[in-house]
Amino acid sequence: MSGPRTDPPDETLMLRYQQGDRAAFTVLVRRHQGALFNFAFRQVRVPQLAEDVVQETFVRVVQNAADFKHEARFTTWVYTITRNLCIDQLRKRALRKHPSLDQASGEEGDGPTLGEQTADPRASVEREATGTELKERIARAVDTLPDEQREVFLMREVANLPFKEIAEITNVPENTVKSRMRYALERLQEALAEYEEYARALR
Amino acid sequence: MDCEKFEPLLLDELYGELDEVTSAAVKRHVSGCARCASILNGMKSTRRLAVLPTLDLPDGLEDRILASVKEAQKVVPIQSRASRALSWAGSWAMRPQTAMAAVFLLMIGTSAFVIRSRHSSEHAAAVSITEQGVPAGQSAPSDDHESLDSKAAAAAHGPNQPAPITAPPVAAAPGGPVASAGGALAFGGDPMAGTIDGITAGKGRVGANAKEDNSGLLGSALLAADDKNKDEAQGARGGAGGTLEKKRAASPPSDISNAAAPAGAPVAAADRGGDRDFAPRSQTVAPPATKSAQDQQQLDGFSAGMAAYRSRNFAEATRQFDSAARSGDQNASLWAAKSVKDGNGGCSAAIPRFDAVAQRSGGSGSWVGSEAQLEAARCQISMGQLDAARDRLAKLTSVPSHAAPAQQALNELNQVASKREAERAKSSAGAGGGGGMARPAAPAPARAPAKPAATAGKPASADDANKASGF
Repeated sequence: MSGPRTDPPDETLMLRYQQGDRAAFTVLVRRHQGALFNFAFRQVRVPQLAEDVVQETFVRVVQNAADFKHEARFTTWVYTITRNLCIDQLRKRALRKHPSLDQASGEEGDGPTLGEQTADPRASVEREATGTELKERIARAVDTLPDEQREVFLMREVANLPFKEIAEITNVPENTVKSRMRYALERLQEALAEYEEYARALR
Repeated sequence: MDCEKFEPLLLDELYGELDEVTSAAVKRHVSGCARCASILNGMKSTRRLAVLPTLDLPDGLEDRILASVKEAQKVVPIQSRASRALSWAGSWAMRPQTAMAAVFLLMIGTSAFVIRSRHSSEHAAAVSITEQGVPAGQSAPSDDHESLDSKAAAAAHGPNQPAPITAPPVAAAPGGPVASAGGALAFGGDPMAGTIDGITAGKGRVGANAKEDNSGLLGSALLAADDKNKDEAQGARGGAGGTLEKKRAASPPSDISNAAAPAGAPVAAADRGGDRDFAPRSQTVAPPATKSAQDQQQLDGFSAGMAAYRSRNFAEATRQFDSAARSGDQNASLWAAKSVKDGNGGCSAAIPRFDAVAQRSGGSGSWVGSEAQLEAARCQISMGQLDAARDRLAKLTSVPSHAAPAQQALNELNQVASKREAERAKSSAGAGGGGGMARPAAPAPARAPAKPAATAGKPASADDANKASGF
């Protein structure tokens, strides 16, 4: 934070940390923990697990700090770590066949489709409770996205990572990332059609 | 820009990832294209609407993160220090100077080893066994005498030695047990190349090679008996040394036949002695004097016979071998028979002798007996007594030490038989003795070097041994 710029890029902070500046690392934690936590939470769907993932992510950053190259993007590195940790968690859960964890996130299995989920609130649209409900619907719609679309959507919308970086993190071509993003947006659009109209009507 | 080009740019435009020029082009297209405008605007409003509710950070997450990171940091410096040291060492190790220095040190170390090993061998070898290969079918040339170290205890070529009396009868002949013990080095036509380092095999090749270079005798098989090296030599020598050691200690004529057997000898010796024979080396080196003298005499006759045989004086060879055989040395009898065969007597006179040797040696069980049988069979082939030869060879094929040559002889026999068959078609031909000289002559000298190995069983006095080590 003592740099000439008020907002030094992540990579600069990381370099400073490599040279022993622990405060720089604290800045990195503060800057990214929120997005990382939300990204992890939307993936593992259990706050406690998401917290563990974020914590472990930063531990690994410290452990492998010496390997970080200045040319690399810090976010690419960090989200790669987080993503892998999330995948590990999901895999563990799949092995354990622990349905309660899935249910803990409020997901009722694969039963209702996006259309069904978004169909019933129509009645409540008029009840002016739209704000909260809309958020819930969005969360549900995102949760029910296929994994590969959801992670792209989250990295783009939550972490605000450019497509190029997402492609690096997910190890697929950038065009694939974009088409996944487009599918995700189209599904959300479909699911939120009523709200969209409503929102437009509100304006 | 058309709709086709717009499609792939839709998301980039949506998230502002396009450069200004492209973005302007997209906007121009959208302004004139209702379809693309509707897609882009639909996406934009979805994006605007579909804002994920963010979860508030759990209380104290940052503290917990920083705490766990602090824990991890405690370990990291050590790791990074270690890895830094490792990479530093690695960078040094990869430098050419380091490699050169390593090579230099290696050279120094190696030369020290060579010097040391030569030193110890000069001082110590209780018995040094010299071998020299003799090319097949070649009688020993006079250079053999020169290349032989007269002081060499080995007396491998005792027969060639003009003064074999001083030479201890510890002999390891090419093709003999030393050869097999020393790693079955090939005995080529070159006498030098044919010599073998039998015992130093386990002692380190560097020293052995150095000796070879110096003395011209490859087969300086040193039974280093210096007390310094005793233990290490004992440990390192392995089976090769043990075999010879045993042989040296074992003097009775009955051992001779075993000693001469290329394959059987090491086993036989090992069976007899075990490793116990190693330690009291000085004792094994000095056997009873009476026995030594007797063996000496026996060897002399044998050596003289061999010398005569090599110089193709078969009558003299027969006489000498016969006299040596009088003590019951079946190997000498065998050589006497060979001398008869190669001499004036020819196969007809030799076969009864071979038979007698085979009988006295216990049939085809012993090496000498088998050898006698094989020689007799070859003789019979050359004399046209194919059926009798076939019988002998068939038995021999079951004797491990002679299975291969017996099979070879059988093949020759079959060739002769088929040739004879063809000849018989034209005219009845008598048994051709003419080829008898040529054919059996070839294998005989080839195996000839094996014979002196018999004398490996003879003891060597310590004095002789010390003299012998002088090369």
